[in-house]
Amino acid sequence: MKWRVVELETYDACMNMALDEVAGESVRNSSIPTIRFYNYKPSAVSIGYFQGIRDEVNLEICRELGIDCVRRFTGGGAVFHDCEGEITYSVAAPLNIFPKNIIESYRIICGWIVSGLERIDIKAEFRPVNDILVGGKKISGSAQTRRGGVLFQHGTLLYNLDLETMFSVLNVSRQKISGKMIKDARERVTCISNHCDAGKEDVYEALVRAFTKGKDFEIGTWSRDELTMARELALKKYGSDEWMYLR
Amino acid sequence: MDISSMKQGIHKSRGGLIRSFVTAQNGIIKEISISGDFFLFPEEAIFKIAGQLKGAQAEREEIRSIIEKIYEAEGLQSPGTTPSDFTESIMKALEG
Repeated sequence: MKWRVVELETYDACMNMALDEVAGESVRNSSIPTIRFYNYKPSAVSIGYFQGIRDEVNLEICRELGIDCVRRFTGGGAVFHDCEGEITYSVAAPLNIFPKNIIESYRIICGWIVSGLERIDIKAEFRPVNDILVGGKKISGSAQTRRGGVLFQHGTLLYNLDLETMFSVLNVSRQKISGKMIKDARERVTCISNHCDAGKEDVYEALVRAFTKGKDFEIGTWSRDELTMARELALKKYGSDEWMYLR
Repeated sequence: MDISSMKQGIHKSRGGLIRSFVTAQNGIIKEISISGDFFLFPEEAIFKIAGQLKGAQAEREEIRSIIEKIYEAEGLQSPGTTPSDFTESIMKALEG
């Protein structure tokens, strides 16, 4: 089985979600497993499929700051995707090449991130269900879903932290933004630039090597059909009020 | 669904927070909405859960049994979250 690797690309939030969905569809339709790396521009908040948007996101501040907001098709929590501060990945592959056990399959894909971090001399560990920690602090979170014989997982790896913006756009436990809260978060969350001076390019190279190690793969791109489908999904699904305000 | 007048129950499972908004009348669940940062595959099953709870007796055993049956029939998976966790969140809303 040959993997397709789509190199680091930058899209807005709706198109990124649409391309992730299309990656899953391509596994279903033509068994092409895909590894994809991407950034969000403009910066965005993604919320989990089951989350209430008004519970989680300060939509007014998002509008003021020009930050997009999108509902994912995966569960989990709200994430602030800083266009300069993270590398996001997704993996879409036939379910049968991964363990049936959900945590064990998270362990495998998160293990690729742990290996990537090792390559830049950062010692990280997988913490079930879906986190990666460095020195006890979260540096990466992922979300997985499975349907129709396809395993799909996406996640973020923090390169820089902009906690002030993060807390202004996320309604964290509906508490007021306070210095203490930011201090607490600094004790729970970390990022690559806190641990080494590798450039973002170096981190990305390390991730590509770790994700592709031992795999038959080729660097690929989206087909014209995939891009057409993604543009339509971005517009009609992920950009629609119906999807955004689902709950 | 306008959830502003509904009672809210929050329960934290190992897999995430479950927030239930429930309205009950004469011991029967009239309206229900479940949100949160948990995982459940396939995701759309949440609508089936809410749909089948509508009209059910607002009692712990009944609620858990309905959710368990949907889990079994649909082959639902929810790492770190069980039917009992959903039930707990709903009961907190009903008792709140």
